[in-house]
Amino acid sequence: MNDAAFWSAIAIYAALVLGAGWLATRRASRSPEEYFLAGRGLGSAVLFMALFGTNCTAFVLVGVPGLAYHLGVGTFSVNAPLVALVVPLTFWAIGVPARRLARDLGALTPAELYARRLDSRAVGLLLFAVYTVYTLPYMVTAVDGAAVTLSGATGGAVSSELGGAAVLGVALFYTSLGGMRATAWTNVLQGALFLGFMLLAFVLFGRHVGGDRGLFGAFERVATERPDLYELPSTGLFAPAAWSSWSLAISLTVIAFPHMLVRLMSARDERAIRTSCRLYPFALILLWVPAVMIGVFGAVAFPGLEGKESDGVFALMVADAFPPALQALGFVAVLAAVMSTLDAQILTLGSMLTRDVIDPFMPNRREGRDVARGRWFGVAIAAATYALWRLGDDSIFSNAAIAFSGYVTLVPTLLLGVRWKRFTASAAIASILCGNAVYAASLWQTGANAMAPGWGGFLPVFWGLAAATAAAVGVTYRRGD
Amino acid sequence: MRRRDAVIAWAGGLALALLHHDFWLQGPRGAIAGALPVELLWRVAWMLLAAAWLWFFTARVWRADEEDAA
Repeated sequence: MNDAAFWSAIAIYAALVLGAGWLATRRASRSPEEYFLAGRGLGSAVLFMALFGTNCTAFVLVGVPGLAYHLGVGTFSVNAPLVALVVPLTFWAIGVPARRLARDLGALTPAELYARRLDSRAVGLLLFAVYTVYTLPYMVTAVDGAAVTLSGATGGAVSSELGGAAVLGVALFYTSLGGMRATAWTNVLQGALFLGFMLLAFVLFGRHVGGDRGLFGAFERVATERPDLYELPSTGLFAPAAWSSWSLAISLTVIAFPHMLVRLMSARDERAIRTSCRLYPFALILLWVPAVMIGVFGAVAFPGLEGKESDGVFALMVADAFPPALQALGFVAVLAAVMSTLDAQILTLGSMLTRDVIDPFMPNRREGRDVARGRWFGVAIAAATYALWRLGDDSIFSNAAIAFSGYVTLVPTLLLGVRWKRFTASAAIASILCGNAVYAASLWQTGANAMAPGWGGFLPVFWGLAAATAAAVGVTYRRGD
Repeated sequence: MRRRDAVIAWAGGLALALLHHDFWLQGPRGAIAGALPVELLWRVAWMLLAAAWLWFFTARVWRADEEDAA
């Protein structure tokens, strides 16, 4: 890669995100509500980009083309459509009442909201524990992906260790400066950057593959050379039971990410959330069609990649089809996708550590000090992520896939906790514990593979969700009076 | 009016959920104009329908819910 273009792109990107963090600093320091929730004042445009940027990780840019290389357009079918419908519905079903209750109860984190709503510190601590167990492996995979990309793009001049530290350091720095407002503002830039790049890459790579017949020629080439990639498979993840349970996982998990729920709690009003819901399907079409078709085009442009080698399609496309300036932009787009999620995760886990774990044991604390504590705990979360990345073994990466479905076991508690007055703390605890126990047992049966069909042909997430729902309803009726 | 909107919305949502399971499209389906994948076009059309449904839902059912909460 051209060094001047590469380092210029990195420098401009870093300056922009750090500048956004610096601009948000003064307002963030006023109060914990300003720092952790942007004063509950995110408007429609910023909220939408914050939700979209946080939801879309580097997996969509790099992993989805890799999957589509082997599975074809079915990759789109099994992932994007239901997300476009159900995620906005969960924003309405859970996010909207959660925002109302958080405002009324003065809660600043998801765990604090449910602890206050159910009048149980144990619920808050349990939610924090589950959120942390499921979120840290996610953060590790994001840091690893960015570090490997950075190391590869510089030909090893920047080591993997240094690259990971730099990515975490920059995300931590602007998050610590400006809190929620900084992460939301940077998400606007980051979302526009990776969405714009994917659209551009789709057109340019298509024209590269299609030759004289341009983008349409690329589609024709696939239809002629690899017609199987245009078919919907009927086995594995595409068999009816697995398809249904995967649909549950991918569409319900998003609202259970604490870093997504806290963004909805930061909305200025319901109109802002409504606008985000209306725009969500269009944004997903614009991002996912290019991501899938880049992988499909890659199958005819770079045939013969086996297994996980196909994750290299994005890098091969950038190196083979783009001029130096666009190569640099491609790298920055991956970086933006990684950091747009990483910053929200650092902020949310740091805020929960402050408000849900430490504060209850400090009854005489000054609440104003929560901003400083939140900043220090953000550093602690980033340090723990780095340590886990360097010291953990490869199982951390399979744990990230397990975590993705595991979040779904929280959905009954998140939903009933804000929609059902009769729901109790005991029911919440039973739901979380039973859901995760059954999910773990089902995972054991599939050999710790969250995407392998298990009992009855359903994925483990189905059984975890069923158990969590049954426990939530059963315990509420048994103990409610 | 509210009840009718809610029934229309949830019936539409159920129809979308059923249409999502498009197993009749499994296997070779060819390509439109010799180039465009039928499955992908169907899915994009489904998502546009979902977007229209969401527009209706947010305008009618959600607003009614918001008024009740207020």
